[in-house]
Amino acid sequence: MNAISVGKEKKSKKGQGFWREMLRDLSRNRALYLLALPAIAWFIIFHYIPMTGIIIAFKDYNVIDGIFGSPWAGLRNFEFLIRSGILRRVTLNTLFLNALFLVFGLIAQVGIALLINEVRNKYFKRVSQGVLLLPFFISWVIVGTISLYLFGTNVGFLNTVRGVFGLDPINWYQSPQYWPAILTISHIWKSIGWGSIIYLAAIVSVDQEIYESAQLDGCNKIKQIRYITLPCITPTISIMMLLAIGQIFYGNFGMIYNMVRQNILLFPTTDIIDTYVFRALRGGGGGGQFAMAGAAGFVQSTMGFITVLIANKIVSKFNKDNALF
Amino acid sequence: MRKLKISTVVLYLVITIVALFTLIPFVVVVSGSFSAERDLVVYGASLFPRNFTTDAYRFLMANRASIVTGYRVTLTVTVIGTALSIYLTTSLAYVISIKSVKLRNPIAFFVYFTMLFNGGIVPWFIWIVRHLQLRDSIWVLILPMAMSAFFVMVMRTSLASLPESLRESAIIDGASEFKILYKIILPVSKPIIATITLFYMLNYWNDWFHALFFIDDRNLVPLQFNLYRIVSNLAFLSSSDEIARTAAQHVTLPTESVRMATVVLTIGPIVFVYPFLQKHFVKGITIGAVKG
Repeated sequence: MNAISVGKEKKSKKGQGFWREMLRDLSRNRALYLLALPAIAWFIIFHYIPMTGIIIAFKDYNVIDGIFGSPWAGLRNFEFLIRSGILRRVTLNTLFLNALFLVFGLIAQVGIALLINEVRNKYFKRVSQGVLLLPFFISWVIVGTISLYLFGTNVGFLNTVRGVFGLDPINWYQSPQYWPAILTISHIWKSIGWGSIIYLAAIVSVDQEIYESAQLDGCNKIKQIRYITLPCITPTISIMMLLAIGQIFYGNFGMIYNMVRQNILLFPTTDIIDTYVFRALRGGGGGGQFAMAGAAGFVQSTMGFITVLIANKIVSKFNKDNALF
Repeated sequence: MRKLKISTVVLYLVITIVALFTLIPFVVVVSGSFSAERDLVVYGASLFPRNFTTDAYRFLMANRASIVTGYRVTLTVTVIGTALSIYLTTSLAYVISIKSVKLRNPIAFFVYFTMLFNGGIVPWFIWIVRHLQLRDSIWVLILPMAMSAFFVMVMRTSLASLPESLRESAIIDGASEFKILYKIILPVSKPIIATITLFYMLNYWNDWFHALFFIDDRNLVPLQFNLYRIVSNLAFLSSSDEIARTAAQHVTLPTESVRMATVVLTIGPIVFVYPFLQKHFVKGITIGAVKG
């Protein structure tokens, strides 16, 4: 992931010389800094200022006093989240669903990339890749609408198919036990083309001479994949895994919110941190619980931050080149 | 030799099945949009319409206000937003790609850090609604998503790989930084800009999230959020709540086929341009994902 490799420069010696140097740089390159200013201002306005508001988690928020004016609440917001069991449920769901997406997504993406790589017909390759990539371009709103249509109890396509085989229709939207599987399949459906492109690019860049010499040694295709292709694309796989693990506390709000909607029956297996935060914040009826939503968001942000740091530490220990920073 | 042939057949077969599995939801939707409502209610969704009809589309043509608004808002947001995004992204990426800029690494980290940590949705929401006062404004569909730290980093890496002499010779000629960027640097970076432009466009086109949070005004409902609202009116029916269902029978709601036609119209433009742009998207996805 060279795109986001942030260079580490040795810190200049602090002191007068340093500041003088900086000032000289600012005036010499003022046209450039001016050019970058609007973009930097954007990051301050839409990222850094809201970031300070994270203290809402420790506040007894009321609309009149705002985040900074409201009285402190200590850990009361967290106490409620923990006592009510909400935090436990949504966190476990988030982690469990993301783990499912990560593992099965990886298997599907790498698997289809290995298959497509064997295809010799260029036209077939292009068309199949194009088809697989199609779901990548549509929004979760559309996926949600389509899934409503596929899993609908009476008109749903899946129940029509079940009917053809003489099976009774299933009431999908009342059966939370099916949803981890349904969501995992939806995730695979949406990401298979995108992921396979990434892995295919890695596979193609493997030195072809290795395969040739392996063939001379009498290695069959399966063995070549096992001992050459997979080890060669391990860097790419570990980067993709690392990125996903770093995001493991962030649920796919678009997916869950559009596919499950406000269907309480499915919450036991599908309610994630992000959907809980949204409901506490904006949901009808119980909305407006800013502090509670903020506390759940705080847990997510800090845990997410720690995870990404740890994940990166582990990878850099094994292989420095693959670390993100 | 024979064994190899069988494996080839299996290979093509497996890929074809996966591709069909990917396509079926689309086929069912298009089929549904051309089906008679009665068939959908009686027989359920199918791969091909039992009785082909364009009723759903004609209904949408007659009641086109929300779709027309959707297209108008989405197109406006996509055009203005993408232009703004490209302007901000290229100018920032350019500055932090220049070696003589001392603060380039601190600024890069400043950008990158936003990918690692954020304050969560709640303070962000309160900030935009209370302090920036952007609720029910077209700008709330543009500004909060104007930049992606990731694309800034991608762009920076690409610009940093250009030879420094390009800039130096222009400076000797007395060109301003602004001119150097737009007359010299960007023209030679067309491929990467094309790719990033496409992804920004896609982000704006597919956005419903910001509308969900900030838009109540009917005249500012973008295409995707329009679909969301149509489905929301019906969603509680699928939870199979008997009371809700009987209650809804007395209300006129968009029917299944009309909903599917709305889906088709919402996806529409993407599918049309997609085959021409596939190459760029593939390149865009590969950028930054594979170590060079």
